[in-house]
Amino acid sequence: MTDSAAALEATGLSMSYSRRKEAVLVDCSFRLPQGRICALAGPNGAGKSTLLRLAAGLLRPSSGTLTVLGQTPAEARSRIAYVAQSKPLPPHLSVTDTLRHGAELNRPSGRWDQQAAERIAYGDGGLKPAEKIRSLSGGQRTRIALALAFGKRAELMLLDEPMADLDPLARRQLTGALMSAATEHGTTIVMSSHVIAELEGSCDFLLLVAGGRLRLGGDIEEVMAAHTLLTGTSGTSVLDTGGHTVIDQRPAGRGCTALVRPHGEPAGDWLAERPTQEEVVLAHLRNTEAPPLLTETATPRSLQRAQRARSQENAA
Amino acid sequence: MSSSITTRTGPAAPSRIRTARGRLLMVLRLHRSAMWIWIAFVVITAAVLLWLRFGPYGTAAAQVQAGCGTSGHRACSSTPLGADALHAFEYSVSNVSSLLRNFAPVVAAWAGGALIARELENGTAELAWTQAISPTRWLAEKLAVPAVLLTAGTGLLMFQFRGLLDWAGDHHLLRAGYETNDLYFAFGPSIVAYVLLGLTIGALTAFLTRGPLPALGISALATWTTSWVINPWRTQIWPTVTDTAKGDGPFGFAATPCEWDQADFKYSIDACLGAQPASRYWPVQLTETGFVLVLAVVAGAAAFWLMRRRTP
Repeated sequence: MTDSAAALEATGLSMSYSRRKEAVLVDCSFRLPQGRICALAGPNGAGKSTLLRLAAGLLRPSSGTLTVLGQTPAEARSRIAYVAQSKPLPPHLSVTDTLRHGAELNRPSGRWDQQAAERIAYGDGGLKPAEKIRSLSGGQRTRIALALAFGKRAELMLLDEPMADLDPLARRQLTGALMSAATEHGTTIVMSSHVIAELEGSCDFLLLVAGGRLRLGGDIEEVMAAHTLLTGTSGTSVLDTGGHTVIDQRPAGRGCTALVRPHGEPAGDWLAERPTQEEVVLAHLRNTEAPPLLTETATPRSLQRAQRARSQENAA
Repeated sequence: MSSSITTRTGPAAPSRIRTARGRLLMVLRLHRSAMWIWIAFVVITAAVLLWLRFGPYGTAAAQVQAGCGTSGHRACSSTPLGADALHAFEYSVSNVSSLLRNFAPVVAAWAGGALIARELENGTAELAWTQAISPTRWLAEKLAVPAVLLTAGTGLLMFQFRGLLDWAGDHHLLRAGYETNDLYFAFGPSIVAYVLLGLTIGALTAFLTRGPLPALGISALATWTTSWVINPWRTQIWPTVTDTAKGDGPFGFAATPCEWDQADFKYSIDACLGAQPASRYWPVQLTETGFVLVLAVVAGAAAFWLMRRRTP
């Protein structure tokens, strides 16, 4: 496997569950390099779960391509771990049997790490090996589901709402475990959530989907740096947009604030600030007309090539 | 956990036998209640069949018919008054036979509802597919393990039931008629084939409906309907014999053509046996078995095709 293969690379990816229904994902193109911890954010029903299921090889895209670690999702099956939103587990098995189940299902790949799985499952001593899955709470089931993902020693972990039903302490423990997996083994992690604050601080890459389309993609630093929060102080309620791409503009007190992608120096009497992640994300969710932003690291190679060719043509 | 395995040395091939054994145990563990119910059913039914043969009904019925048809005794068809054991035996054989021939829809309901559709609905199927085995492999293992257990169990019961029928025939415990004709030709390897058909129809409907409850109902109904449709054709596709010597039909009866207005034969011992000689048992059974197995393979292939179409 070449190191340059992206963890995920989508080109023109679309998905609709039936011909009559509206598409869940429309023409998504992005690239997630390996070794990143990626936040997949978006409101409910944005297509986050569909995107993860496509990457996990559970669905066939209607059109477009998606490669996982340089392979098709089906070929990469043994190298990825996926934790579904509902954390499905056979209810009548005990915790030990569930982990044994994971060991058996992963035996062909020879990667299973029983100790890693047990560390996550029994981490804080709250779970007994003989306990049945059906008697566990939602958060405890999440632990077991994540334990299977860790035991698999995957190169790419796709986690659908992993933290949703965990208490703050367990959330911190598991975030710590994810971070150390990422730093020790270079595991790429994609975590979806509709709670933006949940992802803040632990992720270094952002994919924002809304309404089935990709709104933002790239290094969080780069994405944040591309935006500026302008606050008008002196009674101006309309922004002189001179050259900026306005994402969202709202009245605030006597003036107004606007989130823009600046091109050059902000004009006029504005207080320019660095926005928080939440402000950037919310602005893009409010204004679905805003042009999507893909930083260079998040642009698929094929698109990069096409863009380069186009700019060379323009230059010539 | 006897051993905590930490294999980080890449895909070094673990021994295939160990893998297969582990996978087998895994399927059994997942469906262990079904496995125990099946084992209990086979053991209990086998015990009932033994009891019918060696228990009070069988021995008493054989005693009633002892020596009948030979010189100096009554004809076997004229049962004496108070031969309750004989009737009780016939009644029990008929009950067991309907249990055995209506077992396939039950298997279909289980295969559709519990084996596949429930796992599709609650997501544990997808949990397996995102581990290191492909959906195709998963479905193959899901079907192969029950198929072996069902074949072994049903085969054993069929072998035993056939033995019981032959013993009953030899001792003149069965009366001539449609029902006996049916008993003779219907029971054999084809019953095992129907059970396997139930298994694959269950898998197919599970992928079609994706809900355990509809899959349960539809697969049972589909399996039952299939066997109901095939049933009359079992002997009808074979040419009838018109003039056969006594003793050529099932259980030593004559293979007389049967017609409703055949008043002369109404009370005859050899009446209405369908005009098929006993020697046609294997052709009849093997043809039916082959046909049902083809249906089972088609249903199974359709299930695989539906699954492959949905997943990459």
